[in-house]
Amino acid sequence: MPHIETIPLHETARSRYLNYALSVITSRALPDVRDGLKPVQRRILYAMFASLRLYPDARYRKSATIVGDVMGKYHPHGDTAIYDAMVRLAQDFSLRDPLVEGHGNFGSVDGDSPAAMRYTEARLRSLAMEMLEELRQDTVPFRPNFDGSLSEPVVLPSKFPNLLVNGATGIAVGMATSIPPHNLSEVIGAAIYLVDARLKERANWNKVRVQTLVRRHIRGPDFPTGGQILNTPEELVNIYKKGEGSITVRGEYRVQGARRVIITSIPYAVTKSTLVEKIADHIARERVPQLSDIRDESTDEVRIVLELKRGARAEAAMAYLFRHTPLQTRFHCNLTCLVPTGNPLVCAPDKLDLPTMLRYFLNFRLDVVTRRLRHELEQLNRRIHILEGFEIIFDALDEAVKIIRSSMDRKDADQRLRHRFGLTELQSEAVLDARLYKLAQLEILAIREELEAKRKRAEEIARLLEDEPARWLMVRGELKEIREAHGSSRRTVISGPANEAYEYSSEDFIVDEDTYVMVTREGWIKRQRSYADLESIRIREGDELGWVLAGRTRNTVVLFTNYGRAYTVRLDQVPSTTGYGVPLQKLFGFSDRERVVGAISCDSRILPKVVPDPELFPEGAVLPDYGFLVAFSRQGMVLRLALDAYAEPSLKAGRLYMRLKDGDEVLVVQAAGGLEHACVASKQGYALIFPVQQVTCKRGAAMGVMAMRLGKEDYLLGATLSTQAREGLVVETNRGREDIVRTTKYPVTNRAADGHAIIGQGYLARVLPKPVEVLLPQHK
Amino acid sequence: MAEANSYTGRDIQVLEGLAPVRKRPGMYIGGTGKPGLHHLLWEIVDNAVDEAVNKHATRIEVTLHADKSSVTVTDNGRGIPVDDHPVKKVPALQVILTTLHSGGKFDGKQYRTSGGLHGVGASVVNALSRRLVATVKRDGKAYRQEYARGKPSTGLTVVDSEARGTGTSIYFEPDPLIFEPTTFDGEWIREQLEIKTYLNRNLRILFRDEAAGKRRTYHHEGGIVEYLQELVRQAGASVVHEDIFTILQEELVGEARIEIALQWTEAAKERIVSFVNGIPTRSGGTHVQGFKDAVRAAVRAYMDTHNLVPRKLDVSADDMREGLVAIVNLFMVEPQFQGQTKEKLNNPSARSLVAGPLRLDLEQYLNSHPSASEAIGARVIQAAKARQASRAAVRSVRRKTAMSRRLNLPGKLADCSSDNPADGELFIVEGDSAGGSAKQGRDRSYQAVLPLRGKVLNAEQASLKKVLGNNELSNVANALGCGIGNALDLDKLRYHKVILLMDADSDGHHIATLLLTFFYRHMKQLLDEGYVYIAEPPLYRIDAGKESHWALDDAERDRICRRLRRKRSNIRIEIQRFKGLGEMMPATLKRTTLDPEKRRLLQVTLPAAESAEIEQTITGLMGSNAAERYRFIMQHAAEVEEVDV
Repeated sequence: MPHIETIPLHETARSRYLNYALSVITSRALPDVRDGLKPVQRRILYAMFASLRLYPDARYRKSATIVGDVMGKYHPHGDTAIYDAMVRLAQDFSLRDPLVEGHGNFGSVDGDSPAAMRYTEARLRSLAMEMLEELRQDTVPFRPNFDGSLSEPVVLPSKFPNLLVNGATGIAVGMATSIPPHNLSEVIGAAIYLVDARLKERANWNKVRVQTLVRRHIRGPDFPTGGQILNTPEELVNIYKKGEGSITVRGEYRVQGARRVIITSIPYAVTKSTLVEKIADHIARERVPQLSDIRDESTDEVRIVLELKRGARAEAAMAYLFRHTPLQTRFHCNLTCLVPTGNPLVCAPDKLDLPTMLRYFLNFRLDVVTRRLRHELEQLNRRIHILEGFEIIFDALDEAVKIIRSSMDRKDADQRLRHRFGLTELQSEAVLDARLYKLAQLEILAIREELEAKRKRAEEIARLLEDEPARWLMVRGELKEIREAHGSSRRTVISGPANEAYEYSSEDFIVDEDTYVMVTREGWIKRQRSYADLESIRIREGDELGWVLAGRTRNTVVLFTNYGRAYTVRLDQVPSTTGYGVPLQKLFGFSDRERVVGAISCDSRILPKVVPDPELFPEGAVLPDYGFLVAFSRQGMVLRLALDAYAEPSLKAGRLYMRLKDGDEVLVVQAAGGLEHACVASKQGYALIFPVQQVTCKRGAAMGVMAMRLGKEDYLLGATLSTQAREGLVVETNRGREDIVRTTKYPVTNRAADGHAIIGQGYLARVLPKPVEVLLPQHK
Repeated sequence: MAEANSYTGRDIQVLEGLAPVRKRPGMYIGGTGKPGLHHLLWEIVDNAVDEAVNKHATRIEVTLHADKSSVTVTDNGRGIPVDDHPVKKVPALQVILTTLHSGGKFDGKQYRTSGGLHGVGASVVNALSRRLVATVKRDGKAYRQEYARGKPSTGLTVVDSEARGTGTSIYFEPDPLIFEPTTFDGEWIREQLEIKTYLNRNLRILFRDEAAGKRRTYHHEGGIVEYLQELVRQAGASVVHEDIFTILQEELVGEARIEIALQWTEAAKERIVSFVNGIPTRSGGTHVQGFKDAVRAAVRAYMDTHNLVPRKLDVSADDMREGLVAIVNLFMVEPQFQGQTKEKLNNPSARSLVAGPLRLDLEQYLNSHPSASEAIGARVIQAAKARQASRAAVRSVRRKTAMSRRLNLPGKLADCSSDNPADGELFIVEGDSAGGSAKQGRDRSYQAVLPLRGKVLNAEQASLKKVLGNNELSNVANALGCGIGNALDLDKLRYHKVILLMDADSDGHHIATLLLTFFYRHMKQLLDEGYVYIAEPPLYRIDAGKESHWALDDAERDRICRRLRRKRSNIRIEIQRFKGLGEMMPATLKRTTLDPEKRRLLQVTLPAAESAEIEQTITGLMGSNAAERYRFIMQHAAEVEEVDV
């Protein structure tokens, strides 16, 4: 009979998704707070221990055997996932204290993948035994495996806080975990501190502060790859408090001689070969002028050699590498893990602080110790019971022998013994199984002694089971033992914030050289190291070269636009190309129809020398570094401004230099020293020449003052500055005649005067642009 | 006017006799219907406009007479020469009007650029007119000559010996023996004349429509900019940028002169109106090609320079022109058209004549007008994104043409033999190992199997393009054959039961939710119609002695156990939980899960009343908000009964 039910989409999606999410959270991606293992890791260790018996002194077995065993018995998932998990347990650069001892190629810090599982071999390390040994003593709950044919431990009775020691990373659904590794000795120190706190007064251990633990014991993560942690103790305390935060790790280096830097460690989880490639790339692109070469000389220890250029500062190079390569990285901590619930088989995810994490572990340890004692007591009582049977028999040995001899068979003997002496089945079985030599005097004595010892031990255990503080002391003692056996010194240095002698400055990484910046009339910009002649400079068809400026890459150029805004860029930021370059719009946020009307290179070797004008700069006043700029506007305004305020790189929006009236625009901007003459000409054919000194010098953006008195409807057509008598403003009349406004032809007058009529009739058609002139640096 | 006086009979060349025009009028004017009829008028008007464009005339008058079957075109140009032609020994006027391929436009001397190039214009009109009267004012006299069906019916006579000014006036009546109808369309004429005044800023055309009793002068100072504004108004869409980009060359630059105006709008289509020497080229041609080349190159250069194109987005030339309204008017020497109707320009050189200057200017414009170019860039990207989405949708539908239907099916699909969608069942199976069992256990006549590998893409967090790029999901879409998204066509659906057959473990549940999300987001109609099902494979295998039983749930398991124990109380019962479908023998799978008689299916529905909750569940579970998902999981964790270990 066809059987069709209906179900609304959201209900089935919700229940199925929840099932998936919960199963990923509780049994795939997150580690247990008690043993620090994810299910697949736990199953690998358990299979190696229980079914393959790969103890540290056993012979290695093929990884494929282990993977097959884990997959077939406990973990019904893909083989690669299992092998990858096992490999990680063996890698001394992934785990702070590896649990598996690998034989063969298990991958490297260079990111090489391990050999296939048919080649490699493995067995347990002694530290792993510390997590497994007590399994034999009924210390943890078990549950059936996936097909119910076997059972597996819910958690391993780890004797040390593996979660903190080896850390964990994992992405579940809706949550993830990322716990850095720590130093075993320090972690156990903290655990012991907590036990002591607990023993002193019960409530105390809940009050133990993270600060105390961090100050006295766990100073921070301890990565297997070493390195240096830059966080302050306060930051670390905060991370351990909140269970979340970011740790900055960087590699360590030392300077060898004048020309070498040796990198001796790299940050955790950084692939060395990739790092070397990245550094090499920065060197190849000449972004680190201090370095000339890099060599990876690593063997089993990291040794990356950087060659310094002559006289270069190692600190500067390293500061660059820390900033721009994974030689310094951030490790994001998220102390999420599974914590036990009321049901021993079920765990729940939680984000913990450091003391809580340790308390969970310690409570678990107490539990394990208690269960172990109980288990031992059970075994003892069983033995005592048997020994007591012997004791009874020994007291009436002859009679017992007689009974056995006269019995028909074993069953008869058993029943008669039990009836005569009141033995239990267990006891009489043991007696009947005993060999005859047990009847010797000395043997009888030995059994009596054993019984006494066992009774004593049983009493002791019974007392311990009643005495929790005593059991805490046991936990404490065992922790100490582990620390002695497996503790090691710290590898990662907690240096705190880099207290560097060298302060990072991007300017140190600009290759300092002479260069030329080309700006076209249509607003394209580029940079070239050299050029043959002006005609050979490539520009777009129909475009015209406007300015060619020399300067050093560390200097800036200022571009002045018709809208009164100035844009400053450092030369090295201008694309270096023999092509067309880029539109200025790419570097700056020009407005519609905004165009360049002047460009000045802030290279002191090129700028006009500032004339110490006594009016402007009285005795002792500081001269501006960069001299002045002079700007002329269409409506006849002229402005003189110190260039200093514009010499530093600007934002995309630029800076205002000239305030303009509505409808006015700047015609031209030029650099000035102070002795120049300004030559201006208007549409209707009037011209004026006046000394620039007559224009007051401003320090910041301003309107300026009148250059020439203009008639109605008239406007300024162009202007220029001249330093020599024959230089001037070249104008063209509507008839096509050219004239030059210069001091040899027209008198120098005052500013803001009426202009001289330079043509009889008609008007001026245009002002010829000043030919491109390259000012070359004068070496001082 | 020294130049004008050198235009004499010597300039008129005779290439061939006039005769075949009446025989095959279509060859010359494209047909004898309404367009052909009007073509006569355009020929005469273009001749007048040529005079104006070459700055010999400033005014043109066109009169549609009351009978609607005759027109007069008058200009104040130089007047057609009337002196005797050096070879033909008859007045040049007569040569022009009676000889094919005669005219002053061949050597590029008299007219630098002109529309009436073939020189057939006036003579063809004459040949196809019942009556034509030419009046020429020149050298202070007015001359007149009449023709009938291409032959002079009078000699050239001086009608006024003291005429003022110069000019030509042509009156003609199209021949009813040739044209059907012979009535002109006043509105069409008006429209075309107006376009001509847009194209020639200084041109003034007076149109007298005597039939309608209307009279209007057309003159558009704004030229093509004004025309573009008109076109944008017609497009009815808002503009993307305020500024209109123009190139208005006043003088010939080398061989040509271009006038271009363009503006991007929000309209869904592009509109490029093109002309050569003022003649509309409705089918475009090489100059339009050059225009498109230049727009593509300039916009591409601009967008590349400023890194505007998002990664993985392909911007095509069509995307760049979406919503573009443009006028391209090329003036060139010796244009070659396809046919006399001049619908399409053929000169290969026109492409670069337009593209060269336009590319430079447009790129410069884009770089120096950030307010416009930023908007244009955004418009282009928006077009590219839209096109990409719809292209993907169209492609997946198009692949399912009737011919290649089977061939396009994914290789992994084990199809059924029935073509009837109503019977068809498609099992989407997790993994190749389970797929194998399903293939062997199915009924091949109506059950098809499509194995998926691994987890499919989360459709909630991926774009349609990415979804279709995903191999597994596109296999599903292709197997179903009905297209996807807006293009979904239920009639093409190949199976009316789409059954998700997943392992009963957490990963199986996950894949089921991923697939449901895909259907919900991109094939919702399938869910609306109730075509999507989830198969319920058995959860337990119960072995008792040599017998095996399967239980779909805990209740059934207990029932079976009780029954077995009733039969034999000491029976040893082994219960195994099924995890993967691959664990089952094909026969078992058939018996428990595939056979319609015995299987259990869950039909997935979208209750209308709960649509809001459905939407919320899908976005919450599958969306990109991790915090929301975390909250949901923590809140409902207790609802989960069994979790895999």
